[in-house]
Amino acid sequence: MKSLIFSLKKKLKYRLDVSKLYNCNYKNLQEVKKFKLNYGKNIINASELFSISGNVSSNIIIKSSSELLDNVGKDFQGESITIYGNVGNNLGQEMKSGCITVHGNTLDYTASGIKGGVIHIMGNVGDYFCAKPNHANEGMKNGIIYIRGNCGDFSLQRMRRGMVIINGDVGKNFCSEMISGTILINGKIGNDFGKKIKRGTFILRKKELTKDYIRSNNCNYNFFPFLKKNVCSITKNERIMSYKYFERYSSNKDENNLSEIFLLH
Amino acid sequence: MYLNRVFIHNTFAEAFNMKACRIIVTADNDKWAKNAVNSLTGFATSVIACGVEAGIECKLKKSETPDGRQGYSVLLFSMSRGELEKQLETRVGQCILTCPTTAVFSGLDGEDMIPLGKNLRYFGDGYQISKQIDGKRFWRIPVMDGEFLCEEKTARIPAIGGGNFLVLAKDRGVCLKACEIAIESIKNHPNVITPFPGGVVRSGSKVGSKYKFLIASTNDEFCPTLKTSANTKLGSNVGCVMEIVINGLERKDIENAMKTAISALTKMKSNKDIVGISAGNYGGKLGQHHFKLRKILK
Repeated sequence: MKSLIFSLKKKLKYRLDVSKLYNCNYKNLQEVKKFKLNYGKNIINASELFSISGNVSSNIIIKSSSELLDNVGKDFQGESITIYGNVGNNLGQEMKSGCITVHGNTLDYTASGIKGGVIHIMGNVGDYFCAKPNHANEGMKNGIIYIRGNCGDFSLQRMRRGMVIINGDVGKNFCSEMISGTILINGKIGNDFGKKIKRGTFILRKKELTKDYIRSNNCNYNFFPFLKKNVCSITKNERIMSYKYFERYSSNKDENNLSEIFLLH
Repeated sequence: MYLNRVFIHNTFAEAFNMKACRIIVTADNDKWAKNAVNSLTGFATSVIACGVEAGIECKLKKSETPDGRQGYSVLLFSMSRGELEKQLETRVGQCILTCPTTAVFSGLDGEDMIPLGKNLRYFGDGYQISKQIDGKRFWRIPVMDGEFLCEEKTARIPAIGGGNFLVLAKDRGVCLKACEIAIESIKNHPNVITPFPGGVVRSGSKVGSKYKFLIASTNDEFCPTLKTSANTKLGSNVGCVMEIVINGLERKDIENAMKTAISALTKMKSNKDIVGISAGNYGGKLGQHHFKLRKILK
């Protein structure tokens, strides 16, 4: 597979917005190298900060990345971006399709307003993960996201649809005003979980979060084996959704809350 | 031309353009998955009167189904998009939705999509739940055994129906045995089905009839009881003829299946009692696809 490879030459002093760098239809490698970037007070060529190699392609690899690198994969609709190292804010913001894989951590507003595609983050993510962008009324609109580590506060605000799998813990004010979607959380959950939820499916392991729900009868849900197979396939981890048995909780005390919780034991 | 000492007639099978879709039916165990697909593919032998031709393509392993349960892949063929849509929804609604523990998924991706569970969701009477995963929408419909999961749409693709060959044998026992061997050999052949009961047709038909109200009637040229008539194409040593009809997604699928099936039956122990292999056609003027037996078997 042909790839376009960016490697940071030196340690960054200032934050660097690279949102446009990955979304251009370049004709050759020289065009990529001459791409203008705003860096501090200056406008410089991309080749001054990155050593650029490989072939012009929508498969992008970023080596020795830095957490000062912002807007990586913003509005992305190419094939793939693979990042080795940490990245900054707004990773995959409003991306439309393709796959972003981060072998490191990310800062705030990761995947905010994502519209499609797949994001795998092998480390932790900051606050406002999948939150609604400042100009929008809804957060995550579609797509699949897998976080191997933990995620920060105020995440998944006003999620519309899509699937999020978090293997670690999540911070406070998680899933506020969620409209719909599917979320699996394997770790601990912070305070003020799920305020003003409308609909949605949660797969959790903490029973205290089900206190406002009524336990459903223990019938079979055909959706569950299907979901499990999908989750295992996305995460490539057969044990991520392992359980001896599960209980379903629905019918929240709040009549407007039509969400459901599958509690794994 | 002879294949394993069985004479291959210099003729061709005449087949037609059709529309097809594939669905995957799963259930808690093989018994109920089989019950569901048997019901779904019942009364689906010929578009002459059934609206759709359907059959089980293959049994799927747990690892091959979308929900990791036992399942079957089913192909449905029809002459038009409208009829396929209508038959698919009706049959899934009456045969899969009603069958305990089942779920149904699309088995094809494409641009031309037709409803699978799109309208069945209304059976949920407002309690149905939509789930969109990886760009596909699924419906969870509450039913008395738990819930019925179905994918919203499936793809419709162009296909070919009516690939066939005739087994000419000395008696009925040998003919039936040969057909059984042929069907067994293509049981799990990908992209093809044999829609008739057990895969075999004993009432091959020709177009038209002496009766004006009938569009098809018995293929008198291949009826052993009419061997004394002027039209017969049977030699004096033929006592029984049976037909195997093969529908497939692509031409090469049907050709491969025909080759495998004919080769298998000509290798049977009592192949000396098989007088020949022929094929059904309408003079080559009706069907868009001609499968020449000798060319396929070369």
